[in-house]
Amino acid sequence: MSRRRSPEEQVEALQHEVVEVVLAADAAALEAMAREEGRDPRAVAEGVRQRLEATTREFHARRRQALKAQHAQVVARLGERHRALPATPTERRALLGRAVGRSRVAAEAVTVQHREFKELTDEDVTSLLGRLADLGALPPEGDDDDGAR
Amino acid sequence: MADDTKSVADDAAGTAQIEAAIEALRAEDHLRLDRAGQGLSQRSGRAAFGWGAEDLYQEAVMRTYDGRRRWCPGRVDFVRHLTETMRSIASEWRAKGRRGPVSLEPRGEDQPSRDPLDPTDAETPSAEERLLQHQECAAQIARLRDEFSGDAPVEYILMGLEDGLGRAEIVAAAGMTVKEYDAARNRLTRAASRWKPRGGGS
Repeated sequence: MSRRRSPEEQVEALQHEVVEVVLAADAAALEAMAREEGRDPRAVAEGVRQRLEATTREFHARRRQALKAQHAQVVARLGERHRALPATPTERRALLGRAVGRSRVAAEAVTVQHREFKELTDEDVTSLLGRLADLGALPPEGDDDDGAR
Repeated sequence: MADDTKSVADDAAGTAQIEAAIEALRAEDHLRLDRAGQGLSQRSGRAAFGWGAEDLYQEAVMRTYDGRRRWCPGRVDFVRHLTETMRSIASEWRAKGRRGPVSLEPRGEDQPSRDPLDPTDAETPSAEERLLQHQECAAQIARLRDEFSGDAPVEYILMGLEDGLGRAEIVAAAGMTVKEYDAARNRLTRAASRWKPRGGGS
């Protein structure tokens, strides 16, 4: 058995009917409704068209803005990563050694791909450091402790 | 036969398809969106309160673009998608007691701007706002009852709305034809579209 609806629920139901009526109405009926209200149907339709066009422009502008912000974040992150990497291959290898000594993640990253630390090329070292930097597994700058116990 | 295993996400239109659908809308579709917006709007004469038709269809389009409302072209017509989305937005804003304008248009300094894309931009209505909302809805229903006093088919529809009855049940209970029901419903929804809360009327 149905219960009595609250005024809010009745308005909801009424609005459902509004949508159904609008969807069922033909062009002539819609134009007549606008005229009844003293509005020019062509001007009304044109106004809606222009607003939808403006919404499309607004969406693209927001998306461009979001992509720009995202790109700036990536560039900044890459910049930080490269600044964090030492300048010479020897220093970079030393940094990787410290990372391996301090972090299990770093140690696994190295041993999964390379059997021996000493087999790593300079490019391998740089690439690994970049990936470890992304994972946050590099020791902080100025920390020269190799973590060995 | 439709593939029921496909998800809505698989069928959802992308930006280009949505843009093409907007460009393909005819003048009568624009009128339909305006008419639906008029019926669903809640704007008083004072611009600081409520929302208008344009807020609703612009928000519906924006939500479709950004994926908060997915449109599946194979399942539903674009105009129906937009009008249903507008109804859902109106319902959401009413439930949240949202009273400020949400148009994408720039606002004056005395009207704080809102970001329709910001999911945190939602208010929980206070007890006072809920009460006000309740009163406005009650006033709208009371006014319609008043206006259509003596118009038996519309009175039956209003009673049916209150009792949660559908069209078939109302038609059967009132002993009217479907045509009579539809005509009465048209009168009722037109009047409902004219009604603006808080004594306004823009």
